[in-house]
Amino acid sequence: MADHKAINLPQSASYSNLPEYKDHVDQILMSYELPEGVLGELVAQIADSMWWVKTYQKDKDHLIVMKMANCLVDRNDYRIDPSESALQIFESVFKTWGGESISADEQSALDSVMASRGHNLTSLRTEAVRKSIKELEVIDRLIERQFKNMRLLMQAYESVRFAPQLLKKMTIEIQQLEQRIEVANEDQRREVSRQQGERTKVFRAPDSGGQTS
Amino acid sequence: MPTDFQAYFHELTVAGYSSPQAIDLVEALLNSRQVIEAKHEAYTDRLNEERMSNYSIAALREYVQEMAKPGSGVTKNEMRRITILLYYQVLKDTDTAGLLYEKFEVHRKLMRYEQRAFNQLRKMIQVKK
Repeated sequence: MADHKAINLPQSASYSNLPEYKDHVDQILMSYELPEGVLGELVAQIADSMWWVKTYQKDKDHLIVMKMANCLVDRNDYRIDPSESALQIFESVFKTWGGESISADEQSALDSVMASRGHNLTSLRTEAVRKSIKELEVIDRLIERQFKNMRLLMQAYESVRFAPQLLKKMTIEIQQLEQRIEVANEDQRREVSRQQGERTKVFRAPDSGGQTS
Repeated sequence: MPTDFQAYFHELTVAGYSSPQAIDLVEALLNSRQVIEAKHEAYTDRLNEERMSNYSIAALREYVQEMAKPGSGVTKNEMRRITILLYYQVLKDTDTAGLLYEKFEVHRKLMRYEQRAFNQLRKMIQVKK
């Protein structure tokens, strides 16, 4: 029994440990003039969302090209290894779609297999997209989520950045409000004591001046 | 809690946030960081050891027949079913596009946690009067 596994997908470790990821985060931090502390953490999280947008977009393109390759491979034909053949076609389709040149032999093999299925490159892509609508919708939702995360993080960043000024302004407003209330209370106290003073005068008046009927 | 995040608490209180709000905020920040790390951990390819090799259906049939002990009472129909089951798994495990999509699928499941974490962070970080 055949025991070879032709598919060796490249990524087997977390992206956060990859130098490309670290470089990306560092670049974004530098563009924000290397903030530290909470602001640094928020910018690092913004950078992470940006990273995912790029990664999703890149893998989405790969997925479509893989589907294009799958449209050209008969998975039930065991005279050839289907995954091997799919990978070869994937490579040819990927390069061609990306505008890279491929060897004459590869081009001829690709043309031949596309012709046998009645496809050209555009119709093949349309077919692949049609077959993966649901998957692509999920990926688009994931990308959209990253943009929302970025917006929320940007708002949080602004809030923290201007928090000291805002808090100072709010403290002054509160102090002014307290002073205003204090003044009002003082006025009220004065008014009460003035009225009490007048009432006392009225009550004392009959003793000194004669009775009022 | 990581040391960095403990320092954030001090930074936020110095900036003027009240202690309870600073605690909530640091927790929200840590929560969103944990979601980010979970996403990174989850977005990895399945190892070769976790996948079926690229067997043909004929090879699988042969394999299942070899596995069945004589006199075990396994019928031909049962062996056929097992072969088909294994074959579906082979198709799934050798489908490059499907394997790539598995990673997106894990992130799709994490999306609601992500949404909650970032909304919470945004809400917590607003200066309260």
